[in-house]
Amino acid sequence: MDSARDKAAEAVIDEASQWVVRLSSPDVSMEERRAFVAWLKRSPVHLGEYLRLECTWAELADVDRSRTLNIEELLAVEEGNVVELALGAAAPPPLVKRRSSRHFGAAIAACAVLALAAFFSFQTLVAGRYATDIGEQRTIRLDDGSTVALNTNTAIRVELTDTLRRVDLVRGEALFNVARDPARPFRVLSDRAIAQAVGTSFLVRRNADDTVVTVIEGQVAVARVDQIRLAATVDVPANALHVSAGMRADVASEEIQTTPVSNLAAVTAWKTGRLMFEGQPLSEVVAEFNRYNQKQIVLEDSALSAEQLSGVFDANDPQALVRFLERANVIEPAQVNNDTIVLTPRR
Amino acid sequence: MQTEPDRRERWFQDLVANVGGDLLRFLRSRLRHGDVAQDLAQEVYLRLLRMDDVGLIRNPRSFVIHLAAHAAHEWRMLARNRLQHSEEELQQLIAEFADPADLLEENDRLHELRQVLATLSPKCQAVLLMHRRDGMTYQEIAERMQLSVAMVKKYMAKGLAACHKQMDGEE
Repeated sequence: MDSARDKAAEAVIDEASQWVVRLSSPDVSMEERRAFVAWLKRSPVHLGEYLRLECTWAELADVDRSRTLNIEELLAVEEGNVVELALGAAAPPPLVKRRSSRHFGAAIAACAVLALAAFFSFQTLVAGRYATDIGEQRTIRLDDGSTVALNTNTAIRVELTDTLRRVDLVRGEALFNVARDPARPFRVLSDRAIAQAVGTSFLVRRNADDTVVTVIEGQVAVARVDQIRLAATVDVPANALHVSAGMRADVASEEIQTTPVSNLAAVTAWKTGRLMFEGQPLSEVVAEFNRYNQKQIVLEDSALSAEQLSGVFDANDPQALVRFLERANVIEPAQVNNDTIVLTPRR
Repeated sequence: MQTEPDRRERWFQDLVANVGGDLLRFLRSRLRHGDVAQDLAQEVYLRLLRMDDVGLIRNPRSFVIHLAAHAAHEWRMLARNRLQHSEEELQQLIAEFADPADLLEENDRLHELRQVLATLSPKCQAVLLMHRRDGMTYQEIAERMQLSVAMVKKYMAKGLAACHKQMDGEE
């Protein structure tokens, strides 16, 4: 890798980005405009990068057309203050208003829970079970302010006490956004794996023979443990591995393997109903689709399994994958049955 | 009296007023892939060097974008073996945006961008959304967040650059 060149390229992007932002202001001084033109004329690379950033800038206007991202909420995360957001002076659009008042309710509930905690020490305060079916997803907000997004065919059991927040991943995959609370570690148990954090964001996926923990933000302690021995303590086992953001830990047998994740966005793409692949073998791609759909794709020939594929698909539209493969001349026209789609390699 | 440069500029203005963000999307699809992008940037660069600074400096931003859109468009026309300068150009440009393959790609890209956006600090996200999605001015955002306008711009530029670098890495 030529890192000096990468650095130079990144510096041009930073500069171009500053120009895009500066020039989008209604009052740009003559001096600024002159400096910009001089900068542009210095190199075609500047110009090219500037134009590309303008495009990203334009796209950002459409990135949240359905207006599901809540400004109040984002700012509240930053300030670590949930109550204030509902009282914010800025008048949010109607949708936002409805959402924030619900969160205000959640905040009151959280306070109530804390008050209860003071009375009933060491009691289980909240225990719940949540599940999704094949092709279903949902996000749950726990009373501590953490959220858990359940992927397809997933089940969890939640138990919040005043010393520990514990989630059992019974099956499937879930994304945890853990509200910070140093006094109460957040622990996820999946088969023989334990992932524990104080406040962070991570993904746990329970497969038939292993559990994969991917850390999106912060740090998570990951260990392989005997659950019975563990139940008594809230401490992280001494042999735990500290996994940082951008890494995944595979917990299979005795050993835990960590590998860097090249694209975190791909790992969490399912939250928007999407599957992202980057040069994965078709067998993996098909297995992924089959997690989300009753209609199962079957590879008729092992020669197909090794075909590599990159792309973004709707998780609940296996037909799109099939059409893609047909068009790419990888397979013969697919044979679609009631509950299977059979793929055979192109002859 | 309307001079040729005036007429040109007028045409550019109309173009941007009519097509706006779509123009940039159209450009992006041409700027995205290796050699074509480089050639296009090179072409626009040469045109830029030929421009007199006085006209250019009046509104450098739209000038450059239009220059690029125009170069990209002329390429297409050349590829079709005819080059014309008329109101039809505008119609054709607009028609080109409606290419279903481009639209699909566009949707994929927005999905990706959304994921990337979510990896930024909440402050960066909020600032970008308030300006790009909600159309708040830098001044309004500064007041809302109790920051200086300079800081708002800083967050904005940082967020934009971060989005761009991550999207770039994925292409």
